[in-house]
Amino acid sequence: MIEHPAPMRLLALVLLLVASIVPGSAGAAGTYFTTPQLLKAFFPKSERVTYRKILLDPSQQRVLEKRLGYTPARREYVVFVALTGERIDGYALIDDERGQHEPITFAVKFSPTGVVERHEVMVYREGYGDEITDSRFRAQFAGKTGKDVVRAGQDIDVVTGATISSRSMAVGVRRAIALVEELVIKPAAIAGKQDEAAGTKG
Amino acid sequence: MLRSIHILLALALLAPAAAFAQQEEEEAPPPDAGTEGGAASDQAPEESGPALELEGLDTSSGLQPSLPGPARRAEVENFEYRLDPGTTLGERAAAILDRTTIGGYGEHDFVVPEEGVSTFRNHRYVVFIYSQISERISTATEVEFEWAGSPLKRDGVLTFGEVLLEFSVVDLEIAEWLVFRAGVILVPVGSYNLRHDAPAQELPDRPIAYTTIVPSTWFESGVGFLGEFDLGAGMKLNYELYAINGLDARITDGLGFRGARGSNLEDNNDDKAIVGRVAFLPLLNLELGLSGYTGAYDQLNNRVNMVNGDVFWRVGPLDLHGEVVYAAVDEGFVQGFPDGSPANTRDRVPEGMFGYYAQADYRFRIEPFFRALPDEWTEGHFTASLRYEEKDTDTDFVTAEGDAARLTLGLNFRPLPPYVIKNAFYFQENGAGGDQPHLWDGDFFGDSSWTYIGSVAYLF
Repeated sequence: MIEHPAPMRLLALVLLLVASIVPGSAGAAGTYFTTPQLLKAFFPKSERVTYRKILLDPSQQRVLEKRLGYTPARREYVVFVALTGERIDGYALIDDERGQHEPITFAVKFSPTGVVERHEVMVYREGYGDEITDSRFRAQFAGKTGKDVVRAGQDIDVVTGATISSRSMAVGVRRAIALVEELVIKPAAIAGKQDEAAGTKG
Repeated sequence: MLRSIHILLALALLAPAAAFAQQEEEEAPPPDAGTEGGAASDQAPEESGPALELEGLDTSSGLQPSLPGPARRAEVENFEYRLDPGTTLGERAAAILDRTTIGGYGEHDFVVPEEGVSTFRNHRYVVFIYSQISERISTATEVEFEWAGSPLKRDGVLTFGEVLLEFSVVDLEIAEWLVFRAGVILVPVGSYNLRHDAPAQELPDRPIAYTTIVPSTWFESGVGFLGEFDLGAGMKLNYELYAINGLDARITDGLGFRGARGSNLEDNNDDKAIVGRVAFLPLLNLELGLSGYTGAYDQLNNRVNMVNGDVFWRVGPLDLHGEVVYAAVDEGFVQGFPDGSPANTRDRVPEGMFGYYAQADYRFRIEPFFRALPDEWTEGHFTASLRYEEKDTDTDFVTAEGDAARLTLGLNFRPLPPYVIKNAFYFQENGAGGDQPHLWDGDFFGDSSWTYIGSVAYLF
């Protein structure tokens, strides 16, 4: 007859008793936000959120390819615009980036000038590596602009045990910054200058 | 005494039911979705905030993908559909594929020893299958074909090869900090065994102490719990704690515990080993782990007790990591298997084992080089690695098989995270001279033999 260590038996029993009385909490990897939930979370004080569909023209594709080093997979992107009256409160972009085996759906919130204010993982489809949903990881993207490298292992710390997912998010956010700058911020600035010039002439 | 374990396990199976019953009445309030930095709950927030003018948005942009988890509750309820004998095989297969991820990894080597014959090795091919059975129940399995499976030609003779379940568990999530796991479990002694996947490792060879003293890949049948606690201030603590069949008496100098890994068919004694690991993550890029193992290895209650410490620290492009393991083995012999089994050698088992490794990996880029590569590789990087390690699988004796010190230099090219071309060159000195080998003692390089390993590892 083998005697098992009493402390181990006690530990197991305590664990099981605790398990039997604790209410469960939803914490499985999976869906963190739907699109409406995300937009309300990103822009709680805005009056409305609308969107723009932007079809990349060849010149924009070339610019993005030069900036990113590759051509973005999609020809068309949706940029959400938050408004209060006529004032733009900010932008949001939702995109996918491949993780270890499956795409990770993520969202980036931008200020009106294109500075990253928040990053969220919307859908994580794999059973492991969801440490990238950790706020400590996501908070690293806040404040990033096109002037930053946004590269895992340089200005973005990689989560231990979720190397590939971490790198995927850095690639995704870097692309989101480039897309918003090239498709929204710069065209708006050019249009503003043209309006200004037209007003001066008038 | 064994009966008490059975009772505990029965309780474990009943515990979740009670938890769920209570949860029906008392749903935990969701975190505030509007709070910066918090993962949202699955519940829709209150109808407040901005008006959403999203008419005309379609799903082709991937904005409303097919979602796992709560959004798939209706699909999960259709699980019975798969079990309905009236559905066709094709319909059942489609329902399975809808919730199942199939992936895996492979590793192919080219080895050039200082003495002996160079060879290509189809080291391993692993198929990974993950399936979300329901919102809180999931299963994960790794099927490994080592040396391309079976048959295996060794020394000119065809013999059995290796096709096995390295990992095959079903998890039941009671809470984030309490997940009940059963199946073939990766034994949580140290971090390497838990993260041994070739594409995630920078050097092609596993640390010598972590194929022997911690016999990676070390997997055992058992049950237990794992989970994670948020300690606040950005700190986390996670744990794994299992009861497993545990090591048997085939403990030898040289191989360490490699031959003693437990059977997935039968235990050699009534004792169930207890093994656990606690990891503290005070920062995003720092992990400190402490593991322990205790279990009888024979039928006389002679025990193996093991303790392991591990650290992983990521500082920008530099990863610093290492582990140290010590095993104390009660005096005994390789015996206790059924009469007539060739496993009963009656050899003395080593009474102490010790090993460690320390490794640095530095990631760097040469911008003009990466800019010249095809588009999808421009985010790649090189990694330079340095590892020093020692193993001693019998602390009472110094032997050629049981004592070794190794210094490895590596240089990798990783065009994409899931694909890596590795190059490693190592010097290894063993204890054949009767002295414990160390890098800093005697003529390490003069007494060492070198080996080059080139390797391609990929994840799919």
